[in-house]
Amino acid sequence: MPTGPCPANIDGELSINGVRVIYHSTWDGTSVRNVGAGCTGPLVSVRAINPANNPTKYAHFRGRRGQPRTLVLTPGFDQTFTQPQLGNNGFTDNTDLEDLVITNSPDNPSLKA
Amino acid sequence: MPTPTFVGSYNTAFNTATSPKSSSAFDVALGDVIASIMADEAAQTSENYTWGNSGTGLTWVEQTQATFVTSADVFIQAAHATPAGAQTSITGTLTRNTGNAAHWFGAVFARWSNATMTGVVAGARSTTPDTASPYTLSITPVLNNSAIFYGIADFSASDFTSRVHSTVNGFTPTVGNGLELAYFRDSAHYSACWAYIPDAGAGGAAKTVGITGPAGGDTLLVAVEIGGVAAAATRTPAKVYNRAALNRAYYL
Repeated sequence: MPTGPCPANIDGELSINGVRVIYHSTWDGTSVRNVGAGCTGPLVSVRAINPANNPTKYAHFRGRRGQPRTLVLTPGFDQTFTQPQLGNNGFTDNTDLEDLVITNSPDNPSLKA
Repeated sequence: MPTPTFVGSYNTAFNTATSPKSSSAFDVALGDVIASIMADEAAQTSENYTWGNSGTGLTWVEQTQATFVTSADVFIQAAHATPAGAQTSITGTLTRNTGNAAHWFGAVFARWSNATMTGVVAGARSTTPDTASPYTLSITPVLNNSAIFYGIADFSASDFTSRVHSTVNGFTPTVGNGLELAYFRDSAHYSACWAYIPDAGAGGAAKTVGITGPAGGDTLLVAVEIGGVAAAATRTPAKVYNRAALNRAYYL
């Protein structure tokens, strides 16, 4: 956990079994590291990649607000979602990516009782 | 010793502070070892986690941990369980008992069959933070042909996109060959990577595991040996000596 103020740019990646979800956000200028939601800010882009030789995978996001969401990653999927595209799908800041898991199942684990 | 058989890996989310956390579902069978390595974005005095699972309880044994509570650093720890019998669709769980409730953490659960973690196998941990690439750890397996499961966590949240794992006995974990199990980074929190060596070769000789990365890392590593055992005997069909009787049976 880097110390000091939140970074101006927050970059992240999850890589599981060849599937990669890469995200970029900026800092909202007010959130504080290690307090509450921590360093938060508007999402700038999310890129999701599933190699062509992989079966279909599912990226599940629980998010801190709103409904859990699932992204279907078919073989060969490689798409970068821009800020407007993310906004249209309910992703606004980096807390919407929280609890990210990649599975073989379309069932979002966050929706289980 | 025979090499243990890697079956699969199952992980929790890495990008929340939520506790407890669960892995995706997996099966376990008699003769399996479930080994788990967790990473927390920062160390804290009296940091403590407990492994568990859904379904019939396995007995989780904490194996080794690396933490430096007097300085800012990550916390990384390994544990294992040996099922007493077959169970279907369990999830591994990890619960934070004490520690900063705002810290992100996560774990990978890896399953081996024909394996053992009891008695003589080795574990290793960083004794000081590794601050220069390659970020590595030495482990000396006790048995021949064991697997090594290791994890790396970086307090600096370095970008390991161009990482290269150390080679052990001809095996170099990569994303493509499936020996790297997971990689996570968030530049405001931490970086972590999990991988295994399927056959570390001769026991009694030191092996070096780890990854390259950018300068300025602040990493801790843990590694555990997964020993192999002989595969369980399988029953083969009895030979049929009376071919005529068998043919008659087909035409009944």
